[in-house]
Amino acid sequence: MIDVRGLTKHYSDLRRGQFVALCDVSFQSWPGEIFGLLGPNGAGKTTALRILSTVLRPTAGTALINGFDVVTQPDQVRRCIGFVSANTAVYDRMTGWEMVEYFGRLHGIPRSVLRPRMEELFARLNMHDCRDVLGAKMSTGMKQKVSVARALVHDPPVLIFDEATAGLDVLVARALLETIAELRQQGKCILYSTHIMREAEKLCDRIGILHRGRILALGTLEELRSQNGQDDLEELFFRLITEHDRQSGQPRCDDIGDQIALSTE
Amino acid sequence: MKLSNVKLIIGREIRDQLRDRRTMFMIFVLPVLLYPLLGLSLAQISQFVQEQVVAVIVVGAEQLKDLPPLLEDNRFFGELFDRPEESQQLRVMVLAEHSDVAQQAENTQQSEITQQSAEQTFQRLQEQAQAAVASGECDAALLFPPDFAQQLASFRNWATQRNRSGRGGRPTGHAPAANGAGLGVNDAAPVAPVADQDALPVGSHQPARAEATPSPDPPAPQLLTGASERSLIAERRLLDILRRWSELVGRRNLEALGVDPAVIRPIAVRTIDLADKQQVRKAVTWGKILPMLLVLWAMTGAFYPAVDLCAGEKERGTLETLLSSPAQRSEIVVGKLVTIILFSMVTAVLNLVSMAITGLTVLHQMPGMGPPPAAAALWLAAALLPVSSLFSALCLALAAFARSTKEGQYYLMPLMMVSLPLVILPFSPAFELNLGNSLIPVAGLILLLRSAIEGNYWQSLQYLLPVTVVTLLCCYLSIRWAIEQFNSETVLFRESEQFSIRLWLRHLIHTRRSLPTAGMAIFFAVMVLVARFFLSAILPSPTSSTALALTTTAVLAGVILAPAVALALLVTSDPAGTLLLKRFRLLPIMAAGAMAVVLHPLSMAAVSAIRWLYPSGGPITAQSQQFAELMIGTPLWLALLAFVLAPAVCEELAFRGFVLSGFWRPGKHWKAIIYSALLFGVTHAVVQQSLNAVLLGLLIGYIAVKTGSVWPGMAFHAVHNALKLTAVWLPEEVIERWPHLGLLLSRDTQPNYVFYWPAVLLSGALALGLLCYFLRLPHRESAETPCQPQQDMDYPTAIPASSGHL
Repeated sequence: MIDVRGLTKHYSDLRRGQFVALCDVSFQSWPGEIFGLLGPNGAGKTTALRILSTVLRPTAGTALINGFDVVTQPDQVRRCIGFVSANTAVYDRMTGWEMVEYFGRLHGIPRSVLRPRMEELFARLNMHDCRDVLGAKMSTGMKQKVSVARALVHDPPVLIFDEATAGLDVLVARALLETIAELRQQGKCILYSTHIMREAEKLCDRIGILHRGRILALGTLEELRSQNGQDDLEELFFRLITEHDRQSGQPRCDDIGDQIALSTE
Repeated sequence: MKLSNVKLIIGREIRDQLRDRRTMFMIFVLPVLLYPLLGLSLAQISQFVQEQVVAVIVVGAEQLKDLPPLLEDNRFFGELFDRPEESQQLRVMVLAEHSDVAQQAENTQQSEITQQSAEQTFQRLQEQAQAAVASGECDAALLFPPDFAQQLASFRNWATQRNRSGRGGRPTGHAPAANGAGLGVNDAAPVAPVADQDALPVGSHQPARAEATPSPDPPAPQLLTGASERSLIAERRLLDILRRWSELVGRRNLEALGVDPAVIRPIAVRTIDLADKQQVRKAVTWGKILPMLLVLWAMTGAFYPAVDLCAGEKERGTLETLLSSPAQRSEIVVGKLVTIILFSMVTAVLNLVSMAITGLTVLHQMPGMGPPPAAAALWLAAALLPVSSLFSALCLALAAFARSTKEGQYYLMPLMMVSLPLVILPFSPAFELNLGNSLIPVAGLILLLRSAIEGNYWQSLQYLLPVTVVTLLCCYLSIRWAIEQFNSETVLFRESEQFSIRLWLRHLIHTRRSLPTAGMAIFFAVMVLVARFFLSAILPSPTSSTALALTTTAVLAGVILAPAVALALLVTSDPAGTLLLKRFRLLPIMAAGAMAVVLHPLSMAAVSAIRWLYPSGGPITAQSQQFAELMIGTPLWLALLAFVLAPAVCEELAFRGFVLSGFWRPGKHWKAIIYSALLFGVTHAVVQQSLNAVLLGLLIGYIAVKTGSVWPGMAFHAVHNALKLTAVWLPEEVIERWPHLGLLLSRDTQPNYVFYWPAVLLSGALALGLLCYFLRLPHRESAETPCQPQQDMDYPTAIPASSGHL
């Protein structure tokens, strides 16, 4: 499972100064469930997922992946996650097969086990056309398949997808979503971030709406609809964001020198 | 760290690089092609230098009929060359006035042609020759003035008369040749013959007697040359010819005086070669070239793979993929490092092998050149791994810092600028392999290699250990730096930003924290270094004691103290905390002052050791003496202000305040102490002072960290400087008046007195005792420290003012 509590991340930016990318973000995700992290560009989704994949360290808060802390037990965390992101590319000078094999061996899978698993994976994802193609010559769809295969080769219990359908055509995106749905059936705990409402509606069991580093709403689709009186997710999303931007009385994360102050008005 | 992961990463990176055409070209193809092409080009050029025929105009050669031959059949006389056939390399054009004028000169008596017309003729011919040289029609011109033969005859007659009159001694008042050619005419000029036993031997000096006639001006032919390469070649050949011809003229003059020409060469030197000179010369030449090439090719061979493996991977987006894999950061760094080392070594080996093959097949045709000694391969192979490791680690750290391949390639220039002086320094004849120089990174290794290639094995063995230690230490530090780069989020995920000074200043002010950053500390040190450099060039050297004192104080206050305080106010929210001014406790201050006193003999011994390791050059020693004399003349109050208090206050606030705070991180105090000490040393101009400053900086930095205050450091610094001042002021009379002092120290030129070793040992023991006081000072973390591991480690946390100790 994924257990995130009070996750906060600050950056220092020349233009924006001390920038708060995440502020007190909390959510949980369970095995056999797809948790959708929904938000516009710049909401903090990628930052949150990078923290969960141990690529970044949080400024404050905790995150547990399968009971392992992302800060104190990063090695264990990386062993039990598969991370696919629009930012995770394939190696230009490796074939699809070589790349999946490389990461499989980094996960410590013996060759005798790895090869049959890779054959099965390539068959399931229909990747025979990119098996011996160098990364530089692959299409976007091929690259994404290779990334998914890389993330699945070690059969992790937790999968994190960060805008995995970005740049994919409809057919490939649909196939990917179907694959993710199948993985849910296999009992995987899946965290899926997207800014495409339709994907979240179709795929996610529970949704967290993220805006300007804060969780604005959290729950199943039905819960969100009933709480906000809005059936359409997109309209619901816009209403929440607009209200948040206008709203007062919400906790505000301010950076005061070396301290972070949570204040209400 | 799992070795299996490291091997996997190495395998992948190597395969990746082998599939990169650009890398393959740089590493494999270029060396195979480059050196044979270079060798062939060099061989062609050398032939050009040897065989190029140059054209020379000669004017006034008709006067030389009665002299040893200069020209023969419109060529220079063959006996004037090492080999007669070399005369064909100069094509001679004799320039004379119209034939009827020349005929007239032959048919009529010399006296009927006035001097004026001869000079006019010469001037016309001179102008023609100048025009020909300027236009490139000929490469040089040799002009004998119309009175050349007459002057030479006058010179000979004068010498003859002096000889007959029995005067001894050399002729005096000779002016150098008009064209500065230094033909040596005067050296070959005849001296007074030894006609009687009282005459002096040849070459001895004796003041001319009052009634001796002064020597006439020596005849001076003119040599006109241009700026082209051919002119330079022509000049070189003509000077050689004229030097030999001048010798022949001198010999004839001696014979005319009845002196055996052999007297001008009374000593014959017989050389006995203990070794094959040719082989030794080749070893010396290759001993200079090969180590330099090894270092340069190792650096180049490391750089491009490093940029591709780090910055390139960042740019392509695959780094994040790798970071989310089970491979640890250290495994990734080591894997990439080993890959880069391998490519660096292969590049260096291929280049050196290609050069060796070129040497065997092409260079042996060139005079004085040939293949390198066979043993050189062994020494180069031994040095290959440490050199490659050092530059690979450096390149990896630099490349990790770059955001893209393009940015990474920009970092090559600074790396070259830092490395090239260290590579070129061993070429200086004054830079020899000794203990001091062996401690200089890269340069020491090159000197050691050179010594081994030249066959000086015993000397190489003596300095093997210090060179190895320094090189390994640099490797270790570079690898540590590379790992830190990979652990830094701001380095790994830096994004391009438009640089704007306004934005940057606003960011600096709005985001200021209680302490400065390491970047600010380095910026401050660089600023001080640059300011001192330019001030030393602009300000005149003080000539009075007051000027010295005031200049010193002004520089300390203006260049060191003022920027430190200004930066502390501008970029930090706690200037007093940054400068460590808050804690003022008497006991640590007194302890630090006492430490300076007891440590003084050891400090003086360290200064002597540094001066022995790195002896000062003549100008620096002279300047030090001058300053010491000025300091002696300074009034006491001014001396205390300028040489004791001002340095203590200004340098401590700057380096143990601002700079130390900039490098301070929780749990990494020693890093802050070492870096602040190094920067403190670097800002001193002279190497000897720098090393001394680093040692003191380490101690004072430690005291500052343990006490959390700059005041004890100021006390130490002030007392230390005051005692150093006594080294300048201590007169002999004091030692004589207090004979017990003679048990401890003795007078020396530098640093004016030295302590005997028992005093030094006692000093060390007492200092250790006092150091225990500082060691036992409590060190407690602040209440904020437990949260720090979760914070971005790039931002320092405040040294809390509430806790008295760090």
